[in-house]
Amino acid sequence: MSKLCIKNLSYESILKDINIEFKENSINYISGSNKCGKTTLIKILCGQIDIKESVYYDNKDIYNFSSYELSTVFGRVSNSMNNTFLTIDQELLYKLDKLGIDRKEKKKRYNEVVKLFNFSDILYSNINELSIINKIELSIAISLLSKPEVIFLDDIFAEVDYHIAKKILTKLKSINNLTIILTSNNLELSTLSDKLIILNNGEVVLEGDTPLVLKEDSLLNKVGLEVPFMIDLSIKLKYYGLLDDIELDMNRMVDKLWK
Amino acid sequence: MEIKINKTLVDSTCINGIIGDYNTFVNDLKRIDFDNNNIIIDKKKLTKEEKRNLHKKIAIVEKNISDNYKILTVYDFMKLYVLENYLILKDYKKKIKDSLKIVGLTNYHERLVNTLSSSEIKLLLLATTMLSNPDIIVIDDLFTYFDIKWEKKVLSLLNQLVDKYKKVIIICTNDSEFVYKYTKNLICFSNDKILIQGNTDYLFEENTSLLMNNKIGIPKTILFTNLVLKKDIKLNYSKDIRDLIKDIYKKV
Repeated sequence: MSKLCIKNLSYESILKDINIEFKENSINYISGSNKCGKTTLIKILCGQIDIKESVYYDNKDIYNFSSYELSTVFGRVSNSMNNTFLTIDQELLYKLDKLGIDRKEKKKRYNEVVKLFNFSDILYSNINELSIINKIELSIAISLLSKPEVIFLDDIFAEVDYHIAKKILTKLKSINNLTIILTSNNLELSTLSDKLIILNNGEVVLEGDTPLVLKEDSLLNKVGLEVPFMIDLSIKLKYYGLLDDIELDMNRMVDKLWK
Repeated sequence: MEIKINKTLVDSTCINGIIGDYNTFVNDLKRIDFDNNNIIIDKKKLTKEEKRNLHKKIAIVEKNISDNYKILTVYDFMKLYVLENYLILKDYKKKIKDSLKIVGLTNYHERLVNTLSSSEIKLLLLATTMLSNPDIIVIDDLFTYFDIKWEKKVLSLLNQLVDKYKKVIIICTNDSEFVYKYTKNLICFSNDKILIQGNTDYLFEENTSLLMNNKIGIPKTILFTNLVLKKDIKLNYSKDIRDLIKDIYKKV
């Protein structure tokens, strides 16, 4: 079932006739080369840019959402953690205070994110002194405090490797009723997503189940994207009749090639 | 100019890579505090005065722009850099324009820095650094947000700086795929100290275990080739996946 959808969205000269449906509780990956409109699309989806009759959530136009609805239904995490001299504990409490929820609920939500990201040992560390991984986790944790139903991760994994990003995404996936929408121009992480959307010059050029989209290696290369190594290798080996299907595990692939 | 780090010559004829725990090294360069990493410039130990002058010779392309500067326009940001670094430029307005043009940000003068994309911010930082016409350019994590097209464009610009203008380029990154493809000389840091240094291909291909044990990523083509080599099949190391496929085809 699709709760969030985009219908006939065009915006200035950046986005053209976009139609996308996002399934509930799924991981959706939006990719494309630099300046293809990824960040603008995220800004529109989370209501940061106002557009009428283009983005619908639960069959309602998000243009008519109250500001509180926009900030609690959608959580946006971007790649810049503001300079702050607060500790993790202070930052979380500060954001919780703004939400206007009762004390019991505040405590519950605080404990949930601290547990999810194992913050207990670094709760009183200054944010400026945190590692990049902890800063990313904190940015996500702050967004999760409002219990969003959709979370937008705008190119936040660019500075960490695949395994760390995978670990963080797995934690997010464990949260019930959360739809995840990520952007990146690196397709390596897309193998963890359910749906992959490729933008080029503001238009959707490919969309669908991730494994199927990743098989379109020629088109992906044409729009300036690099297909993940194991998929690229599988496709090419398949072309030469050396492999039957996509193989993501390196050991298994070597065993298949040299039985 | 000759630059040595822990008695190793940084190659001024190619792009140099630095990988691993390099933050202390970059910070030392920023403060021109070379005692930790024992950096020797032009074969001599530098006096305090000479160290200070080095600020003009070394420029560091930072990872990001501080939030305080993001409310400025691109032009004002670059002008502020000129003023804060006491740069003596004949026509700084033209220099700013030229610098932006070189990195592909023509007509960006009036744009607010906070409206730029992550990749555009990286280009702006590179353009700003070039204003000081440094001899050594240390680039901290520049390529993170670039797609292939921009990656190649900026690399061609950096190669031009090496070949034509004899600049020493040092790229600090933790992207092993990138350094394997594009750098010829590599310095690997572990726990803020140099672990190993030398020819990039040799380091990755012959020291895989050492690098992995020190949490340095290994390019996937190498990992794949090593797995095949373990089966006593002589597969050659390749940087390009197409070359790897050709070799697999011959050896299967």
